[in-house]
Amino acid sequence: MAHRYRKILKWTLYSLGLLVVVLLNTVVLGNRTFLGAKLSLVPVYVACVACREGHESGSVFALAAGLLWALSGVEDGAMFVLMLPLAAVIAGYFPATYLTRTLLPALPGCLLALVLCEGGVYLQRLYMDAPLPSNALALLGLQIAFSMITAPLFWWLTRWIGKAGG
Amino acid sequence: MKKLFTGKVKLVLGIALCLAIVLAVIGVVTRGATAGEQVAGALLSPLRSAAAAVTRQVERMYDYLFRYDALEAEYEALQQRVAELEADVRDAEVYRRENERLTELLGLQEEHPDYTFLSAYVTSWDASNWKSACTISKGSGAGIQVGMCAVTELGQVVGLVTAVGPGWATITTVLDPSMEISASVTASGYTGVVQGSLEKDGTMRMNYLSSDAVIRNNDQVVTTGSTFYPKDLLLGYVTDAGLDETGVGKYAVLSPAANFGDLEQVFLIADYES
Repeated sequence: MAHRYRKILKWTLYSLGLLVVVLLNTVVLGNRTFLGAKLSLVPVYVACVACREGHESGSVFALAAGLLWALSGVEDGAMFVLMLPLAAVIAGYFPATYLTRTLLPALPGCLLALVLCEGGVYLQRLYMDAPLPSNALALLGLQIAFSMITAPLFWWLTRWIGKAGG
Repeated sequence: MKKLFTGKVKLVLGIALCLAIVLAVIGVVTRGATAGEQVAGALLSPLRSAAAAVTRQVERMYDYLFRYDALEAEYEALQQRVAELEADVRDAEVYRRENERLTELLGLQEEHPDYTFLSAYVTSWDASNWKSACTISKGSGAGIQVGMCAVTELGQVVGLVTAVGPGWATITTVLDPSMEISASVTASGYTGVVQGSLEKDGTMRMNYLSSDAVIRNNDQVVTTGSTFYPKDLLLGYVTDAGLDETGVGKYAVLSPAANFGDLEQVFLIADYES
């Protein structure tokens, strides 16, 4: 019973964390650019959760996160619905199977999630002939680089939630 | 060792693929907010408003602690004064040209349209690099409809309402490439189409200008009046100009009049005499 309660508590806290990340990304940082690029925090957070919880549970969480992100009105949200679970599967599988569940193996997972999601959106726009600024590739690189800086913060957050949930 | 693609993972990825296709198709065929977005918007709207209010309070506290209040007040007063003077100059230029054309029609004076405003606070911004849009704190419940034009308190164009939910609405700003606005240069009367560019410096581009158009830096560009935009709303200032890719027309680069970096509140023009 206690185990079940802790599990529910853990996933509730992960979901609340996701909500905070979504609000942080759209309300607080939504109008802030860093050398012209906006941050993309949701893939980083989802990758951290997947690294902690494994690829199966992580992919389900990533699917829910992608759906929420897409329905919140973000541009090209469908790409996130597809790419977030895929990124979570890969990011969650390798650290748990071959490495340890620590920050260092989680970093490539976060990077992969960002590349798949934001890179996917970029390629989709490129091949659909959608408008892109002249320095789009540089913006994409900056977005991924700056978003990666937040990975240790989210890793710490998910570790705290994981401990709280047993 | 655990398998990578277990049954559960395959199921999740299959659902993800189906949902992505469905969302992409709905996004293409639907105008405005979809049913799913309406539900998510209704759930997120109060949270966004609360978070935006907290953010504003924190920013004000920071300003109070680290900036000179007097300088800020003086800056705002000067900004207001500059906008008033610019409006005067713009009116004068428009009337001068009109007088030249309409000397025979003495006594005729264009009436200013009666605007009805709705105000709303900006609660969040689209996090994508490839879109310039914000969400505001009011929606269809407050009378906001798709197609309403949003301006600042100084009458500078912010954008157009493109999706509405019960307690929220999305404004696609003039910086977004999907926005095309019929506009004219006040000093010379040349007309063209202003389009967002998503460039890093936050500029817009005025296309389809006549090849013999004489464009000067800092010329003001205003709306010419259309279904969505009333006449003579300030869009931006010319910062550069040149021949376009075809070589038969000119373009001008504009810096937007509205300050999108500090945008807190917008005013929607609910009604006007076209």
